This record gives sequence, structure tokens and C-alpha cells, in this order.
Amino acid sequence: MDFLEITDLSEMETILEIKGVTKSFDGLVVLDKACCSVQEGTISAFFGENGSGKTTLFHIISGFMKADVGEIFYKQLPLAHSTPAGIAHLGIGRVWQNPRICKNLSVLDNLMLASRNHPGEFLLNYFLHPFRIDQEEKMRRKIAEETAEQIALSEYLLDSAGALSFGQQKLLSIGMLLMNEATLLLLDEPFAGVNAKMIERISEVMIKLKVNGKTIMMIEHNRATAKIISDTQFFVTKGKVIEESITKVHEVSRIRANDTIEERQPPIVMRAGQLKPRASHVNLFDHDIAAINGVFL
Amino acid sequence: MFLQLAFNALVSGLLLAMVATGFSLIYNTTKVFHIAHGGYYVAAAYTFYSIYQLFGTHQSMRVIMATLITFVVIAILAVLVELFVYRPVARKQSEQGITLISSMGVYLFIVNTIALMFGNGNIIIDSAFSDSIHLGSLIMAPSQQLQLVTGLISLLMLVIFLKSKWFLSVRATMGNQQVASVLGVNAGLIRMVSIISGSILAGFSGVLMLFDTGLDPQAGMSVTLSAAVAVIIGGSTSLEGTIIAALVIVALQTLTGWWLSNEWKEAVTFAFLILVFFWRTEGIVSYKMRVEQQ
Amino acid sequence: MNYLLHIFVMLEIYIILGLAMNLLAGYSGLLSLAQAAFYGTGAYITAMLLVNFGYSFPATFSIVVLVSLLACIPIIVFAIRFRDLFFILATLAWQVIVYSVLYNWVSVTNGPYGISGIPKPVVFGYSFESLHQFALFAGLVCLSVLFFFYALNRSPLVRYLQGVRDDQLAMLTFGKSPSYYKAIAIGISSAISAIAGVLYATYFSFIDPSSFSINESILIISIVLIGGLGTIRGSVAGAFFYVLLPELLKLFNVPDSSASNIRMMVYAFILILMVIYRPYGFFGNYRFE
Repeated sequence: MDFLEITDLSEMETILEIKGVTKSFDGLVVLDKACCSVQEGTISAFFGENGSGKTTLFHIISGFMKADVGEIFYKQLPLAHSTPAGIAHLGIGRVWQNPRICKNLSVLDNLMLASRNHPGEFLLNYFLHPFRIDQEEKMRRKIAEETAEQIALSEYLLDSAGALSFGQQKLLSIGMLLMNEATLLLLDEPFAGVNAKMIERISEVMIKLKVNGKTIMMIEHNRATAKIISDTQFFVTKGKVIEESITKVHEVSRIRANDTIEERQPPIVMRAGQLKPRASHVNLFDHDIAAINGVFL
Repeated sequence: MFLQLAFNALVSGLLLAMVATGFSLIYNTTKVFHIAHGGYYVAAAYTFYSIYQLFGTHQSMRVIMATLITFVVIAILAVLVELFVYRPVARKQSEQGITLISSMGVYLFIVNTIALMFGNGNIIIDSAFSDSIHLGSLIMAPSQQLQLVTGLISLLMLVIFLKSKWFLSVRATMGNQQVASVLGVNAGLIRMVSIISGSILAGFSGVLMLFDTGLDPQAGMSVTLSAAVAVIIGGSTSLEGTIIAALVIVALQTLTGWWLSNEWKEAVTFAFLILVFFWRTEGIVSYKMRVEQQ
Repeated sequence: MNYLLHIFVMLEIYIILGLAMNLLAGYSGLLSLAQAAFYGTGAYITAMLLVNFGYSFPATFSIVVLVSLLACIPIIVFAIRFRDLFFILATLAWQVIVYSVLYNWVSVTNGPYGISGIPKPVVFGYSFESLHQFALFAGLVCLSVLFFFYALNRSPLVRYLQGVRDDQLAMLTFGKSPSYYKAIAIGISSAISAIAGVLYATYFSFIDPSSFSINESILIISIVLIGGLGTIRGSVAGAFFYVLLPELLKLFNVPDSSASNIRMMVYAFILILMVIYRPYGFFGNYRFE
């Protein structure tokens, strides 16, 4: 068991700030002035009952829905882009509950499709810069092959994505997010519907991403696994987002409800320390991890 | 003058309503965009025509025989198509585009068979079975009298049927076949009956046209398309809406014939359809979908 | 020999039409019933420019391509705003409207009387007058179109078009706009269909609206469905099947008057069989589901 370093979270920057977001459907209030703050380079888990608004929140962040009231700040800038594609360009990526991949294309094609700002996307470039397109294609193909290794799908590179198992498709969609160079990843139930081995694999990928500086927000019902790898846990209930951290060692928790924008104060919350695993393999089901969680005020 | 136009439109509207409600019945139970409806329209007319000619002079005899045999032929045709085309296609859970294509295949097959047997010319039945009725400035041609009576009776029957208990089962089947069958509703039977009734409605509309201006093998397509427009505009689940929409469409077509010329009727109908699509994206697909279901 | 050349020319025309349809339905998942409208537009613009205005062939050809790109704008709007069945019906409506215009706007299109006297193509002084020469011309045009599609298949662009077919939500998630690629697919497809129209008009020297009706649209779709969606081979196979079928029937000594009806019956029957039992067609790699 390797020793793990603990870093001070207070130095982290807020990458995403949700302020007073309200959303209703046909009179039913799903999100009620919800506020939330996510730090860069962390893994946050969002828990809550079905229909509590977690997915709606993700929809709003990723641009598939618009909030009735409230604002969202990404890297301290308001998310002015209303289109999902625009938001993707900002670096916010999304993995859906049912993996949205192109089932009739090969794994490689899927990864290449997700590649960000490929000159081959634009018709005009085929006339103006045809050679650049060819170059980029070769370069990005290498990147795609490396990404495929990271998500352990190297053998399936040329196979049709529709032939992959459900868990593999989930990994593929994460891989596509990587190709898209997303810095903030929204994962919708990454552990749902897959076996333990796959859960482990997906968790490893998530931690590797965190090491590389990505921020991950996930909706999960599998609280046990989510708690192990996440730094922060949020509860979404009654339209509000409540930040909660529980550590195994000290069993002390303080729940802070974020009510209105005016009342908001800097969080005095105990957080699970940020885990920074070394290069070697971390066994996620080792309960000692929890014991090493630090607590600091 | 205007009264005559309005009356003509009303009668034609009833005919279109017959075809439209037939289309609606079939679409709702099979979820197939049944463009072959037009095939039944002409098939019935040609069947009626042949039997009619066959029975020589005795007026009521030939009408009765022709009616009965047409009834049977259309029913058999509908059953065959349902069993050998629509059910297999439905089993493959195809997209609506593909079912439409299969229906077009059926249409082409039927129409070309008819053209093969009867040629491409117009057929018409010219017998003067009654005189025109004059109501003030209004003239009701014999064919119109027939259409009016038949149209009203069939639509009345349909409306009565709508209020009946049995229709509840039909509506259940329209909603969700699997659920309906679990609840003990014989989905297959209801499907079959709906298809037969719908096809007969179209068929008799075709027969009525025989006594009017006659038709040729290609006549079914434009009627079906106008009927489809009526169903879409009227709301596919509402038969009353469909009937009203059919009347609206015929009114529109009559106005077009009046202001522009007859040839533009079809184009105007379809331009109208596109406009309706822009204004309202419900009708055939009438539920809001979650973002993920796009 | 002349008859063989005639078959050859028809083949070229339908291969081009099939490839254009495949681009829409096979690559981009857009089942459009308006292809005959673009085919017809190409033929009519060609006829009017060559006959009524005496333009040169190269000029006519360029103008046809440009006009088709403009004429497909409504279809692009439909593709962006309407989904599935609504899109198909909107294209059907458009097809009927365009046919109506061709048929009824007699002052411009001569309506059902058609336009005759369309000259054969003259390029750089070389005139493709005889049947042999025209067959060569048709072959060259078809070859260029085929070459274009082979290049497209190997380029990154085809991925994005197929993405529109497979999962538009995924495309949005990764920052690509499905509307943009729909527009590209529709634009290219209508331009290519219009090119087929140019061939048709200059080959037959006479055109009338009946060749560009909804029936023709249905036929074009059937070609790619029977041949197979998503592959070049499929479109070519479908075209072969459609053009050679009557020849096959001739072996059975079918009288001429019923020939076209029987041909359509056989075709419709096979279409239905394919849809039920072989949704991938002969050589397709994609089926609607």
C-alpha cells in the first residue's frame, strides 16, 4: 500500500460556480435557487433521489436546457453560450447515462469524431488547406490510439462501437471526452449497469483524469464507490444542492445548506483531503484509503 | 353561386373525410403511414366497375352485387397486406420511414396491377339513377346526392362507434399494443378490424367517385395525400378533428380552384401542410420528449 | 450496339442519382422524398438555358449546380427543424409542389408539353453529338461523381455526416453542429442529382414533368434500399438492378404495352421483400432502425 499525499484544498480554484439556479417544468419546481461550487481538479459526486434535479442541473450546465433564473460561472466567466456545442468548445464535456456514441462507426472513428477543432470539420478547409487536414488526421489518429490505450479499448479500435459491451461503450464515451479535451467532465451515472471489474476500471480512468488536472462531476446512485473516489459529495434535494462531507476517521460532518445568493459565505466545511496517488496502481477497494483521508479546518 | 360552391365543397369534404378517417384508423392501430390507402381507393372503384358491368341491366341487382363483392375484395386485400407486409415490417421494429416505403411498395404494386388489367384510362359510371334536385339556386347533382347520403351515413356510424364501449378497447390498442394485450384486449383482432374498416371507407369513397367524375389508376395518390394532410392537421388521435380538417382542406382547395386554377390545388394543400408543420410540431408525434430521447 | 449504349447511359444517370440519395439516406440518415425535384430542376434549368437562352454548355452546367444549391435551402430548413416522419412528409410536400410548378407554370416550363430540342453538350469546342460520344460523356461524368464519393469516404468529413445519422446528441456533446453537416449533405446531394438531370435533358433532347414526379422519387429511394445503404457498391448495384430489370423481363416475352406495368410490379414486390427480409439490401452496411 503506497502512501498517499494530501494536498491543501483551499488553494484550489473554483472552476464552476452555480448561483441561484431555478428551473421548473410545467409548474413543478425542480431546482430552487440551487447554489454550488466545484473546485478545479476535484472529483465531486452528486447524490439524490430520482427526479431530484441532478440530471436537470447537468442539462443546464451542459447547455441542453436553460435555467429560468440564476447564473452559472465557468472559470469565473458567465456561461453565455447557450448552445450545447458552444459549451463543449469551452471545455465542458458530458457523458450520458446511456452512452451516446455512434454505433455504426468504429471505435477509432468515434474517437476521431470527438476530436476537438479538427480542420476536417469545416467544408471550406477542404478547398483551402487540404494538406493540413491530412496532417492533422494523422496526428490525431495517433492521439486516438493512445487514448484508446488509456481506456483499454486498443484491441477494439477498428470494431464497430455498437458491438462493444455496455461498460465498454461507457469507457468509449469517456475516451471521446478526452479526445475532446474537456477540462470539466460531467458524468451521468458512470457506474450504472456495469460489473465490479468495469467499475474498477472506470474509477481508475477517473482518477487518472484527476491527476492530469481534469475536474469531474458525477451523478451516482452507487454511493459507496462514488464516495471512495470523490473529494466532495453533494446532495441534491428539494431543488437545492447541499454540500456534505463525511469522513470515516472522524465521523464528523457538517452540512451546510446554500440558500440564497446574499446569505452565501465562504464555506467552512470539512473536506476529505484530495488524494494524489502515485503512479502505481491504487486498489480502490482497500478500506485503508478511507483511513488516510485527512481532515482539516 | 357561393352557396353552390359551398355545397360542392361540403360534399367533396365528406368524401375526403371518409378517406381521412379511414387513414387515421389505420395509422393509429398500425403506426404505418399507409400511403397504400390510395391503392384501396382505386381498387374498390375498379372492382365495383367490373362487377357492375358484369351484371348487365338489372339496376338494383348490379349495385348490390357490386357493393358486396367490392366489400369482400377490399377486406381480403387489406388482410393480405396486413399479414404479409405490415406485420413482418412491424416485427423488425423499423423506423417510420421504412414502413412508409413498404406501404409505397404496396401502392405501386396495386396500382400497376390495375393498370395492367384495365389500362390507364378513365373509368366512369354514367347511369342516371335519379334527377338533380333543385333547392332554390342550389343544384344537387345525382352523384352529389349519393355522396351526401353515403358520406353522412358512414360518418354517423363512425361517430356512434366512437362513443361505444368497444371503441375504448380500440383506443387502448392505439396507445400501446403490448399493454393492451396484457389487459386482455385482442390487439390483433382490433388491428385487423380497424384496418378493414379504414380500407372500406377509402374504397367506398372511390366507388362514389365512379359515379361522379370517374377515376384512373393514379387517382388514389392525390386523394390519400390530401387525406393524410387532414389527419396530420386534425390531430391523428382525434377523428372529429380529422373530419373538420378534411372539410377545411377541401374548402381551401375549392378556393384555390376559384382564385387560381384547379391545377394548383395539390400544391396549395401541401404548402399548407408545411406551414402547419412549422406552427405545430405535434399531431402525429404528440409528446414532449426528454432531452436524452432526441 | 446502340441499344447497349442506351442502357449504359441510363445506368450512368441512375448511378449518379443513387449515389446522391445514398449521401442523404445512407450517410446522413435523411430519408428525403424530394430527390426527383432536384433531378427535375437540373433537367429543366438545363433545357431552358440551352434552348430558350442559348447559353453555352459549361455555363449552363455551372448555373445548374448553383441553382440547385439555392433550391435545396427549403429541404435544409426542414432537416434542421423537423424530425423523422415530419421531415419525410415535408420533403414529400416539397416534391409535390415542385412537380406542380413544373407542370402548371406553362409560360416558363411549357407544362405538360415539355421542352424539346435540347442540344447535346459542347465542351471546349468538342461536341458529344453521336450516341457513342454521348455515352463517353456520360461515362466521364459518372466516373467523376464516383471518384468524388470515393474521396469523400476516405476523408474526415464522412465521419461527421455519419454522426448526424447515428447520434446527433453525441455530436452536440462534442461540439459539432449537426445542422451544418445536414446542410452540407443536402447541398451536395441536390447538386449531384441536378447533374443527373443535365445528363437526362441532353440525352433525350426532350423533357416533360412526368419523369420527375413523386413516383420517380420513390424509385430513387428504392434503388438505394435494394442496393444497400451506406456503401458506394450498394448504390451502384441498385442502379444496375433497376436499369437491367426490364431487360430480364424481356426474356420472358412480355408484350410491350404491359412491360412498364409489369416492371413496376416486380420492382415493388422486390422492394417489399427487401424491406422485410433484407433490410441491408444487397451491399449495404446500414439499415434504418
